[in-house]
Amino acid sequence: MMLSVEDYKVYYYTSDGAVKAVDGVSLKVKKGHSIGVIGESGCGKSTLAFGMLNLIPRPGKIAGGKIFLDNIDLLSLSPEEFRKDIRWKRISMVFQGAMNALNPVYKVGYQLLEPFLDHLGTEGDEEKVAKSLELVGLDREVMNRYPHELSGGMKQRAVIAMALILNPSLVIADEPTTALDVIVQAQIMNLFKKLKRALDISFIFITHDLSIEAEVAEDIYVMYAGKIVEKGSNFEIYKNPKHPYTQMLLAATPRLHEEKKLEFIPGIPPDLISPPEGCRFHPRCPHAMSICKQKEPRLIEIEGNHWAACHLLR
Amino acid sequence: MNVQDIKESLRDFWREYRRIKSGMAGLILLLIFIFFTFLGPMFTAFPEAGPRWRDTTYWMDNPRAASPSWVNMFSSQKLCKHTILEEYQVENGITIFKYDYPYDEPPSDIILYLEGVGKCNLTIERPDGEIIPLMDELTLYSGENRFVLAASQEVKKNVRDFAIKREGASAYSPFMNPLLPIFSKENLLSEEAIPLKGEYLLKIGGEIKGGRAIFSGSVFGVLGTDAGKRDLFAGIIGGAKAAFIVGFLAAPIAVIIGIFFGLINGYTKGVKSEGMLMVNDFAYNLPLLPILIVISYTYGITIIKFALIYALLAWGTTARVSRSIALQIKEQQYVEAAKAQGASSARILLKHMLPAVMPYAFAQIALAIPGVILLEASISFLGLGDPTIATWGQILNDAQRANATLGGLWWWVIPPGLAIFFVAFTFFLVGTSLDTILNPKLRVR
Amino acid sequence: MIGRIIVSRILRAFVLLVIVVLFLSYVFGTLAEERLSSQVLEEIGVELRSNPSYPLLSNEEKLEFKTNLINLKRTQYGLDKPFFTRVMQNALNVITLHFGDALVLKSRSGSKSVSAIILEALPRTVILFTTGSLIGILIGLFLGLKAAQKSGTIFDRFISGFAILSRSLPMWWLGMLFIVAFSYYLKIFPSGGYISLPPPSGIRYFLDFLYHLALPLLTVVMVLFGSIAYLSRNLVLGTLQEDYITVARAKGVPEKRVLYGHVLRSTAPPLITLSAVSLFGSFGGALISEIVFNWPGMGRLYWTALEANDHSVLLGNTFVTAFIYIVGIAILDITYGLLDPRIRSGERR
Repeated sequence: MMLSVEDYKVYYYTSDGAVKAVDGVSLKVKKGHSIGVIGESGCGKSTLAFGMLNLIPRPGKIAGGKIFLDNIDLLSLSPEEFRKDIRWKRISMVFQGAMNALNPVYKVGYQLLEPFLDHLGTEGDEEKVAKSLELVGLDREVMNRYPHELSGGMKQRAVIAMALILNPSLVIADEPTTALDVIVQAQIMNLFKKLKRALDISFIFITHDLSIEAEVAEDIYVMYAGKIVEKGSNFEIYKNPKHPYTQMLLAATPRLHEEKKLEFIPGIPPDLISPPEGCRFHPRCPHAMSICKQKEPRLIEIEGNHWAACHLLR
Repeated sequence: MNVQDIKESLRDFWREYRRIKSGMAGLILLLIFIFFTFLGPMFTAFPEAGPRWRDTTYWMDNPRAASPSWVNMFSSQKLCKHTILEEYQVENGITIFKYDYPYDEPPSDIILYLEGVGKCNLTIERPDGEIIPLMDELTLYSGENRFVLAASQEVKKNVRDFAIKREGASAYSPFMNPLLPIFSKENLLSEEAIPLKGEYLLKIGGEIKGGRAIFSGSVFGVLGTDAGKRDLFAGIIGGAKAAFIVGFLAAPIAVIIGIFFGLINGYTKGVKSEGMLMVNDFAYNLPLLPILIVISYTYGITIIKFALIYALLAWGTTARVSRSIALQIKEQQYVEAAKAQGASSARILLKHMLPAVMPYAFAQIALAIPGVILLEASISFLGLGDPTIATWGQILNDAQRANATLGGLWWWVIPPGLAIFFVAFTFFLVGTSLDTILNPKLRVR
Repeated sequence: MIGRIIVSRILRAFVLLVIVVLFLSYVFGTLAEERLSSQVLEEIGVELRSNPSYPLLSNEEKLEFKTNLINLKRTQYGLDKPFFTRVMQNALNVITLHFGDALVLKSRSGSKSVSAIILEALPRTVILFTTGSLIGILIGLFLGLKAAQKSGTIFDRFISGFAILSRSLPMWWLGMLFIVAFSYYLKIFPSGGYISLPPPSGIRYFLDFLYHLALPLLTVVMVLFGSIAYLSRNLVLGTLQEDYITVARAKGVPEKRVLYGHVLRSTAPPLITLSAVSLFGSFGGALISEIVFNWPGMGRLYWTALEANDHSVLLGNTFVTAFIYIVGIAILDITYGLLDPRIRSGERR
């Protein structure tokens, strides 16, 4: 197992109380495999992503759990060790909203070269940068451009190229297509598919858009209110969702070939400072029972590699 | 945006504002400032200090360059407090001024203003019972008579005689305070004189129709006096009014002009807009101080004129930002919708663009006030301020001319500047708090 | 692209300068007119009184003589030309830096030329203000950066508080305070002037100069670094929250380079503008502070010119001050354009 996250917790300690953004999340990624993490905005997905790069902003703190990458206990490393050996070298990230991910006053080429200096202590190779750009479908000329000279799609590609520059084993893509229009979205997703085939990299795709996951992730984790409520293979989740939340997510996705009435999930995302008692989804769940209000359901194996946390499944 | 919305957003805003400690502090200071500006004159003996700053008759009875009276609290040597006695008693046809003397320093002079007709004598009775004759014949003519005792040869001789009679002839220094022996117990003619403290009775052998006795001291009032005998505490309070007018007139007008200019500029297109932009650039880059110096020197200036001229020159920065906000709003959907509905430009401006800019406007007004107050103070400091009223910069101008800094007259130098600082600081606190609420990038969790 | 920016800024500065000059010329034109008129009458009076044959003339002849004399004088002083022309002539003179002679004042070397007087005062202002600015900016920048890094801590709050404090003070009043405190009471620093009398020689001259520079410099720095620290703190705080900074950290860029490389570099354009605006705002205060310290620069020249009612010097001095302002801002704009690549490739702001 390349990456193993066990019972990971990240809380933000604010003046109003502790926001339990990630509250006991476990996941596993095999080498060469990719997973998808799905959930609404505010369910803690981005915090999870930042957590793996040890970039949790103040006032957030790691409140528990472990992360193992190739058997290295990441949380036990010193900040300097983490910065030098793990960040970008072994785990990198493609950021949400690439509009702002590139520093406007530096040329694109420079920003792609930077990691070489910081991790390998070398000047870096312009050739490698050029190759990286070409890999994502950009002309190598882009090296000499400034970010504001690129279109949205080009910027996103550049950000992806930047993530790949040191050949990491794991790339986290946090909402990589959210800020783009549909056509460019499709292009980027195709790019990801191609990269998956060509390189031996694992991706963690974090998004709220189900349609994306379908194309690139082997396993899917469904996250709600800081917890994993369902996990399983791509196929299983789509064909056979067991958790009511997953089901409603799928129902809310418009499909091109079906004449379906779109449903949406009622209610608002839960307050993570004082989440609902028992099952966190119960206020919005159409099948809520009295036990749901009292006891938090645990993940139960339904079949094969398909797990869900719901009292309905006993 | 209807009234309900406005009330709602005001309430939200107030809730937010209450949380900012510095903002609340600023608000309290602001209330104190307003209190002092309008009710301040009640607390001073010279309520008309502002408009009568240049009127020497108003300050006639005060000492020159006297320290504040509370200095006595910090020293073992009690300096003589400047006392003006307006009340007197008449007993058996003799007018008596009762003077209480608890100090270690004798009065530098006794000045009498008397109304009456006729001749009478003048004596002073000490606490130890001794009576010193001062003048044998005081001639009173109709109208106000003024007698300066320390300058009178007769008084000097009489006092000297009294001292010699008590202690024998010794070296008499002509530079010494001629009234020193009156108020001393021992060593009447030397510097080591020991003060005789107690109640003194200044007796005039006759009935007077009115008058007052001034025992000149070297400390006076809450903040002392300047070289022109003016009560500085009264001056500070008088100057508050000027600061108030400047602050509340100049800054809002400037910002309002800027807001509207910027909005119209952002909303219109083409040559008109380009032209406005050029004008805006000029206004933005104008060096205010030299221009104000020149205008004031040539044409003279009053507080209100200053405020108006400032407003006409200083709207540039606000206009710039207002324009960029307008440019953003212009692209918004609801503006397009309104246009499609046939709304007039004026309506769009007022209903859609103005509300977007309002919060920024308020913060800007609060933040502009310190600047304009400092500017006015600077102009006044140069002597180019409003000559008809007292302003704090004016007071400091007088101080600079009189070299108050070199003479260590700290009570003249410190309070006016402190007042300027106080007002500017107040509005800064309020302004930055407003700005914090409206500029989310500055918020830190 | 860069060229276009430079040209447009220079043009704008020039036009602004012309407008300011016209304004000044107009204003001082009215002043000069009054003065010259009364001067003319005075001179005529003197001449008539000293002319022995004048009283012998008949009344009509006297009148004619006087009138001719008046007209002659007016032509001599150029008062016969229309007001507008005179204003333009004045303006032209000012722009070409021909300020004429002072009415009352003289320079140290005894010259009556206004240019000489101003040129004498200018370098002293420059020394005081530039040194103060440099020190103030460096300290302010450094502290502001630190404050943004440690935002929310006591240090940060102290910096913010101090900044507000220093922006609420009139700089010249702070100078007065310093004189009372350090010169009168503590007697550490001299109370004014830029050199002692008699001036020492050699290295001691330089040291004496520094000794006199100390207090005014301290005043300038005190006020400047507060506001610059606050500005840079705010700007940097804003930049720190940008995505690309998080990205830089994610990339493993060491914190030092994140701050001094990424953050500073991208904050530089607005930082420079706002710092310069702060600077220019303080320039007026610094000028006036000279008065308090009797520092013989352009600020004190205002004071002396006002006291002596010498509007020639006043006009020249105002012009030079305005010139410095306007040119300074133009240079600043150009620098901003050069630094921010976003501006460079498009005029759209």
